[in-house]
Parts: sequence; C-alpha cells; structure tokens
Amino acid sequence: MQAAVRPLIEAETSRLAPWAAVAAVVGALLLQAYLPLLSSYANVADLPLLLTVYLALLRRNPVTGLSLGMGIGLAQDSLSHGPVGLYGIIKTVIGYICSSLTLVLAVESLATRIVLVYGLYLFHQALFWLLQRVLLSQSAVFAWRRTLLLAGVNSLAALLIYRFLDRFRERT
Amino acid sequence: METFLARYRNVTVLALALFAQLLLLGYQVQGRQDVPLIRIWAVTAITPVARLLHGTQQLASSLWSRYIWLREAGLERERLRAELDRLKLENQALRNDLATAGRLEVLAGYQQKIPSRTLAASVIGAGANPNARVVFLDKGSGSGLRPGLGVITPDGIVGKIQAAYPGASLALLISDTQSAVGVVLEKSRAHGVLKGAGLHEARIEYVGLEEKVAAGEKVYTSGEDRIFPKGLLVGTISKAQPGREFQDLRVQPGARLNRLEEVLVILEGVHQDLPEDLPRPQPPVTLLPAPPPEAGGDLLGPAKPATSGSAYVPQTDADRLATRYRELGQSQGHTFGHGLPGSKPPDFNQGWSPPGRPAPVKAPPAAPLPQPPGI
Repeated sequence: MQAAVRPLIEAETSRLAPWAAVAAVVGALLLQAYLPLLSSYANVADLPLLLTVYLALLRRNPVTGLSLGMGIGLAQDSLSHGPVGLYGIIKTVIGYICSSLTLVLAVESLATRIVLVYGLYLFHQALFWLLQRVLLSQSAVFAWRRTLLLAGVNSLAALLIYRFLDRFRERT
Repeated sequence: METFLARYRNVTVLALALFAQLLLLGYQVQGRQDVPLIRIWAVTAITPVARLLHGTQQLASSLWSRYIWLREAGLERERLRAELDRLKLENQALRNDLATAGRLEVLAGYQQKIPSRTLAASVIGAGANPNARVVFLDKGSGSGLRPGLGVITPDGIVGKIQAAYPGASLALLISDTQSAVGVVLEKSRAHGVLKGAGLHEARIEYVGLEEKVAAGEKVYTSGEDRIFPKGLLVGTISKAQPGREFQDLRVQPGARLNRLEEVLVILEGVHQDLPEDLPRPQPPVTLLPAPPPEAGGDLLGPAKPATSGSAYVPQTDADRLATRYRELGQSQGHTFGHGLPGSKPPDFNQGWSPPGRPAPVKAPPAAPLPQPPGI
C-alpha cells in the first residue's frame, strides 16, 4: 500500500506551538471583527485567510489543512451576518490546496509564501464571488482592480505576520 | 473499496467536508433559517476575549490621552480658558446693561413723577482738578442746557450746571466748597444754606440754635436759590451739634455723588410741596360740641334754621356775623372786595333795632348762600 502522493521535498521539520496557533487564530478572528471599528481600512486584510494559509503550509497534511480551513472559515461565518458555511467552504478548499502544495513545492521560503498568498487571495475572492452567485443567487460584482490591489495588500500583511509567527515555530 | 478510500483519503475528506457545508448552506438558503447554535458557540467563545480586548484598548487609549499625550489636553485647556475669559467679559457686560437698564427705568419713572421739566444726561467724566467736585455731562448747550440749571437724581439733588459747551456741560456738585443751595429741614421747617464740605459731604449754615434738629432728619430744597425748585430731596442730617452762633449741621447727600452715572437736568423748575408724611408732634385737642341753635335772635339777628340737604348752616358766631353781613350786602347791592378805598360801605345797621323796639325798616329776606363764607 502506497500513499497517494509521495512528498517530493523534505518532511515536516517545524510546526507552530499549539498555544501560539490557537492564539493566532483567535487573535485573527478578533481583529477581523474589531479592527473595522477603529478604521474602515482595517478590513482590507483577510487575517483568517492569512492564518489558514500559514498553518496549512506548516502542517503539510491535506486533511489537517482542510480541517483547519474549515474550522477557521466556519468561525468567521459565525461572527459575520452571512450564512454559515460560505467562508467555511472557501477556506476548506484553501487549506486543502495549501497543504497539498507542500507535498510538491518547497514553501519554506518567505517569498514563495507571499506569492502563494497573492494567488490564493485571488482564488479566495473568485470562489467567494462564484458561491455568492451560484449558491446564494446574489448579484455580486467581481471588482478586478480592487481585488488585485487588495491581494497585494494582503501579501504585504502576510509578510509581516508570517515573520512574526515564525518566531514561535518549534523544531520537530 | 477500502483501497479506494485509502488512496483517495484526502480528496474524500475534502468532499465530505464540502458536502456537509453545502448541506448546511442549502438548509439555510432553502429553509431561510439560521443555525443559531453555531453562532452562539462562536460568539460565546469570542465575546469575553473581545470584551477584554476592548477594555484593554480603552484603558490604553485613556492612559495615552490622559497621562501621556497631553498636547490636545493643553490645547483644550487654552481654548477653554479663552472661552471662559470671553464668557466672563460677556457676563459682566450683560450685568452692566441690566444695571443700566434698571437705573434708566428708575430715572424715567422719576422724570415722569416730578412736575419740573427735565432732561436726562449721562455722566461721562470728572474734572481734572482733584480739589473740585465737578462732573462732565454728555448733554450741552446743543441740548438746551445752560449755566445755572439744577442737576438731580431720584435719590437727591446733585449740583448745578456751571458751564455748558456744545456737546457737553460741566456740573458743580453740591459737595464742592463753592456750591450753595437753599434748603429747608423736614420737621422743624428751619431754612438754611447748604454748602459743600469738599468731600462727599455738605453742611448747612445759618440754622439757629433754637431749632431742634436731630440726626436722620431729611433735608429738602427750599427754592430760595432760584436754581432748585422747592421740595426736592437733598439728603439726611448725619451730624447735628450746636455751634457758636448757629448749629453745626452735616448732611449726607442722598445722591451718590462719587458714583453718578445718569442724572436729570432741570430745564423748567416747578415748586412742589414738602412731603406731608412726616409725623408731626401734635398734642391731643379736646373740642366741645357745637352749641345748640338758639330759638330767638341775637345781636346779629335771628339764626337761620338748619335745613336738610347741603344747605349752609352757620355754626359759630363769626359764621353768623359773616352771613349777616353778606345778606346785608346783597340786599344793598354791595359786593365785598369791590370798589375803591373810600367808597361807601353797606349799612350794617339796616334792619337792626335795639332790643324791645320795633325795627324801623324791614330788611328783605336774604337768599341762602351756596358757598361757605370767604370774605
């Protein structure tokens, strides 16, 4: 019996401390709900998405990655006014993709992760727009320019957040 | 089957997860029902932390703004201080306006009350000579003022116009040593001359030692100076003691000479009576009732019987004599008070006869008098 996909790169070498992971997720959800109260520009960064990508890239296990994404997405849905499951589906897919990519790509480089964040943000928004129109029958508009700009902003935010979270990684 | 699931375990889990969430979404969209349980769990778990975060943020913000970053507080303090100063000035100005309105109202009421024709004026300055008690008024010869006019307030007389200029005039206060005003004391009715004592006080001269004057007695103008009409309040006796030839009387002027603001200038003075509300010491007088009318005549003839209504009934001998004379005058066509000196008077013995003898000529009946006698 063989695994479906054999990792092409080295095995998992470090992981985030559990307490740090929980704190980061809770903090991201809190800030996502709280920062817009202080500034209307604070909601341009999708902190739960950035945390999903970061944690999923570290675990290198698709099931774990999609579980993380589903949990974070459902929590984000619960704290929003939309139907529960919308962000859950999107972030489940994102977590799965990230974890699967770690099996075929070297994602330890910060630059690689930033590029990934840029692409995954675009994918996240496209999937969000698609689900809105198809599943919820809502007349959503996909603003390409704004989405591209926000993707860059989220990449920059990811650069700062990931460097900060790397301080709490533990060697395994 | 087991091999298939093991081979595609990740995709299978993904599909199950997505399918479960799609069902959840479909349940909410089709049934238009929410899933409150999940939201309650999430909110319950997040709320305490959010509250803690909010409290921390508030505390940090408060510490920062109240104790560290005090630039805005300083600016706010300066702004509030400037506003407070402005409000103080505004409040003072409003108080002054209110006081001025009150004084002008009193002045206008007094102006209407007194019979003299007056003109209101404001005090705009004092004289440059520290030894002279003068003030400048804002009305001058252009308003009809001229030297010699009296200046008063509702509280008492102030002085007189000494010089009139086109737009202003100079008034000499009664406290000036060169001022002199004829006055009369309220109770004793003694006359004197009010002269300034140089300060905010004046004295009364030429009041004899036999006059009973006490402190607290009011002083009015006598009208003898031809400046102030009679009956205006001057002030109150503050000190009374006998002098060498006359009494030494000090007067506290009723007008506040050191704080004059609005005054009245007397253009045409009209004398008025002194106030009659003063308690005059009068011993009780017991009068006997009038004597009953005599049935017969007397020396002046028969008394007129009392008639009903308002007809005149003489009560005393003098009244009867006057009535008798008037009747004689009317019967002889004589009017008392007319005629030149030396003209023939009426015959007062007409119709009179000694007791016991008949009258030689019967006098015509006298008409009743409509007016009391006033020869």
